[in-house]
Amino acid sequence: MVIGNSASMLNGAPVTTQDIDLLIRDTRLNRRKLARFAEEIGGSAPRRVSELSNVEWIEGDLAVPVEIHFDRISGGLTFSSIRSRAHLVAVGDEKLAVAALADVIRSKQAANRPKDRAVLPILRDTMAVKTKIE
Amino acid sequence: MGRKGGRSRSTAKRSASRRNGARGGRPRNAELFARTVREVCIALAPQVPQIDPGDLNLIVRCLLLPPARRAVFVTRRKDGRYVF
Repeated sequence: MVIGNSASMLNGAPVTTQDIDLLIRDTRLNRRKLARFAEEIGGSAPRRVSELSNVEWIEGDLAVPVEIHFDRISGGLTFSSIRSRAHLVAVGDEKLAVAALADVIRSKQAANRPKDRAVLPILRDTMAVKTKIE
Repeated sequence: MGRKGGRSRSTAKRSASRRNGARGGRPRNAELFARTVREVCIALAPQVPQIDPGDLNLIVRCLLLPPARRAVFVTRRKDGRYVF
């Protein structure tokens, strides 16, 4: 499932990002899929961002790295809760499960890093406009 | 019988086509899209006065784009140049 600012973009927010964040369930099958995915994008094996974090990243031929989050993200958001509000977005021949903008905002509020605080105003504005348009 | 092609002789139709497109005929898709964005912004602006008009324009544009055109990733070609 696509989360983070990639999800914001696919939700229509005018933002950019330096990575692609994915949220998956931490299962043996998914670990195998992840290794295959890394291979397909010509990337490194997934490795931890830091010792203190369970987030992993893949450096590949995509020019931006792919960050993998397992089971939950900031804001107490679990895979199931995010998936229940996610929607499918067609990109080329693929359909991507994309986290709802409200969930991206909630996780960024909770993470509260400078880069999250920088992007929150435009995400909130997008949310307000989206609500009016829909 | 009926119209056999060629330009319409109606002045009203000819002037309408001049209004719609710069050189007559249907306006380009980009023109139509820009008009729609502008119309939506005008309608929404009073409802979201806290949003800067420039930001509102950006947001509405992104929301009205088809999802596949919203995400722009930079990728490196084999020749080392970067493309969208």
